[in-house]
Amino acid sequence: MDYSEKTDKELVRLSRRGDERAARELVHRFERPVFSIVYRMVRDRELAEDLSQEVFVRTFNNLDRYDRSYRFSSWLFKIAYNLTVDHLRKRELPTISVHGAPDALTPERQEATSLNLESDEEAPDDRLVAKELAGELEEAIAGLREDYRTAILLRHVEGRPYEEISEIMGIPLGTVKTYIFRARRELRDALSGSYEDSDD
Amino acid sequence: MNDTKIETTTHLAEEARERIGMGGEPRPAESRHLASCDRCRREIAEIGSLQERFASLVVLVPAAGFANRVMARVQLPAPRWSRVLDGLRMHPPRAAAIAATAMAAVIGTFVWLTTYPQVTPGVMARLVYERGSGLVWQGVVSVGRVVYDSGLATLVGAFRADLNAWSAVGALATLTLVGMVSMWMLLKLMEVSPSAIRTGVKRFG
Repeated sequence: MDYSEKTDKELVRLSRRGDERAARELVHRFERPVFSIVYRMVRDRELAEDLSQEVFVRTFNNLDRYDRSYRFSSWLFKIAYNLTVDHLRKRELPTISVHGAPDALTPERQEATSLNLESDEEAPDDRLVAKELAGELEEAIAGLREDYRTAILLRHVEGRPYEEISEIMGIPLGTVKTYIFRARRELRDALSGSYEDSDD
Repeated sequence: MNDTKIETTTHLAEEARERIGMGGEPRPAESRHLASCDRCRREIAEIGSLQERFASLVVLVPAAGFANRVMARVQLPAPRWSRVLDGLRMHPPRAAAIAATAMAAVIGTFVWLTTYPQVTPGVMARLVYERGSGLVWQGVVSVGRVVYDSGLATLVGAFRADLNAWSAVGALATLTLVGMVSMWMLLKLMEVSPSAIRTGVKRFG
């Protein structure tokens, strides 16, 4: 049976029956987007790994509560969003630099908690530029409110439609539009210098 | 006031600007508007530029073995066949009863059918194979052949004139009882303990 060709809902149905390979395929399918969102929210690789694991564990342990009228990805991202926001609120983590977590006092810890901005598909010069741009954008994203950040990442990085973002974040569609609109404004303001440079 | 209204109603909607900025084709009316509106063109360019920047973000991936670590912590429901098997293991008398009843039903059916002179194992085999040639069917035919060869059918056939529905039920009940006792003794001999089986099962390593 080729699991990679099955739809998310078929894999969920098989997982509910105890099919481990189906569950594993779902993890492979969504580990990157979930981790990517969580990592950009908490800015700590180890913590993002732990939280992402917890997202999948909760998802699979509550598969019987999944409402099949919704997209599986919406439900998964909703769990990821709620878990991450809960964690951030409990820990009251401040927004931090791409250079490492605020409690990273040693170079090793800074290395462990910093965002990896390497891209192996570009020439060295291009890589440097891409790294710089990506670094600025990462900083700008980090400066957004957590709900703006989630909305803009889901829209621009994951390409999720407004309706799905509304389901994931549990907010009205109009609020999603407002969040994304404001997030873009804030990002534009934060990146205004490099916008002008890139226009030249 | 009127100027503000004109300003907000004459520009493209936010959704349209985003759609075009993220690579969508402008509709004819939108193209006409864009040809004469610097503000909308600028905003679309900004959205496009932002989208390009987002596309340049690195794909963040979890460390290798992420799926294994997740699966090690997940408690998926056991497959249905496994749940049925676990239930039977937890209740050996029930397992013995079901197995013995199934066995008695199969043997009883074959014994009954083979008492008819025209129903030979060959005829039955052909009938069964015509309806499906799976492993189960082959097993059923094999049981029938053993029953036939054992002479049990001949024995029953000798008393066939006296057989009625009640005697058939009695015979099946007797076979079931014998089967249950046999299965129970077999389980005892194998010292199968349901708790030992359950603690020994590890679904994910």
